[in-house]
Amino acid sequence: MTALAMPFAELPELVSRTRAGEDAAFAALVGTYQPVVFRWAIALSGDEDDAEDITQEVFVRVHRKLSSFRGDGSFEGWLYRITRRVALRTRHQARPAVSGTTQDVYLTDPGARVDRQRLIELIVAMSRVLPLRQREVFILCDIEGRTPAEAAAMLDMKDVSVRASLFKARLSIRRSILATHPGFVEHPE
Amino acid sequence: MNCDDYLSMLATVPVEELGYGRAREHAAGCRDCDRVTRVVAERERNMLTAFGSLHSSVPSTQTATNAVLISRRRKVALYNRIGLGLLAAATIVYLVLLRAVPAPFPPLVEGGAFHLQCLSPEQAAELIRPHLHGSSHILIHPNSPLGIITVETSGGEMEAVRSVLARYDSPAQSQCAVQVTVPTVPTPVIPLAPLPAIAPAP
Repeated sequence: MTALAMPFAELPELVSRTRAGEDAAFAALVGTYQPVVFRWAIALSGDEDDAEDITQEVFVRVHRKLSSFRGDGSFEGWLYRITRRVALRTRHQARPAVSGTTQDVYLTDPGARVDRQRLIELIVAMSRVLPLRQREVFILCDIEGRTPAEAAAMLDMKDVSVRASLFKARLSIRRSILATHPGFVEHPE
Repeated sequence: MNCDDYLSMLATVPVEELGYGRAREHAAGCRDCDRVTRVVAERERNMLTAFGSLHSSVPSTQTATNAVLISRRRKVALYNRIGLGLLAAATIVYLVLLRAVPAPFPPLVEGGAFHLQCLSPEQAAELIRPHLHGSSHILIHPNSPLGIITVETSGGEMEAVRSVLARYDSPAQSQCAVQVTVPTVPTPVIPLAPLPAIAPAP
């Protein structure tokens, strides 16, 4: 699942127009990337309010540092690294974690349309299962559909390290899924 | 493939990859493994849907506007900080240099006693005082029968003092009678009453 709908040809133009001080171009840039930055922020922080703050701060930094974006790497990778830095900084100053339920949507509300709070709780539950690096790799590869090579470029990691983290992340996630499934105990294992 | 092999695959590979080959054959023949696979697939699909449905409650236009405002404010604050930093650095450098560079030597003080021939010490002091700066000293010996005045000052001013005394304290010259401004009390003029007329003697 690729989160972005912007044609690649438009991005350099928007970036250069924003650098030239055109606020409308920056607004278009934010409109395109705000959803994905918010999702990254939720996954990294595990808290909706923090994610809103992180998203705002990310775009403040983007506006300030866009002139330093050379364009030799991917814009998304650059954006992700900013989001990560801001999220980690926010996490260090974080308020106590919200003690929401970690019950799974599948079990509590089968067949129904899940509401926003439950969606967030699901992500929070997942984020508690995985260490940060594995969570990032899992989000970028299994949720957003990037290849391990693309994720490695975004995370400044080696390809093989991304694959190893992804392996561990899937293991943890599936163990947690199976552990909460009532029918799993019937399995001979 | 047995159940252990299948579950270890399920634990680490994407669920779609289990739909092929021997894994698929095993799941087709094993109800438990098939059910567990469905659970995993459905839960991951839920997670994916949930993640894709998340969106910020703040409109992107507001985020952009706030970002531009905050960014510009921080830019101004940064320039202010840089300016203040430079000012502080310049002050520190100035203070360090002030301590490091030795202060210039104070002007040499010269003292001299002058034997007055014509003027009183007080008169001489009045004459030379305008030529001296604040840290100079004039010493008068009022009870001494000799008219002596002692002056302590820098070399340049001492020359001026000598010159003034040579000019005014010389009995051979008429300037010796110079009038030093001494406040005097004016004598009141008392009008005299007219004398009574004296009658002539008979």
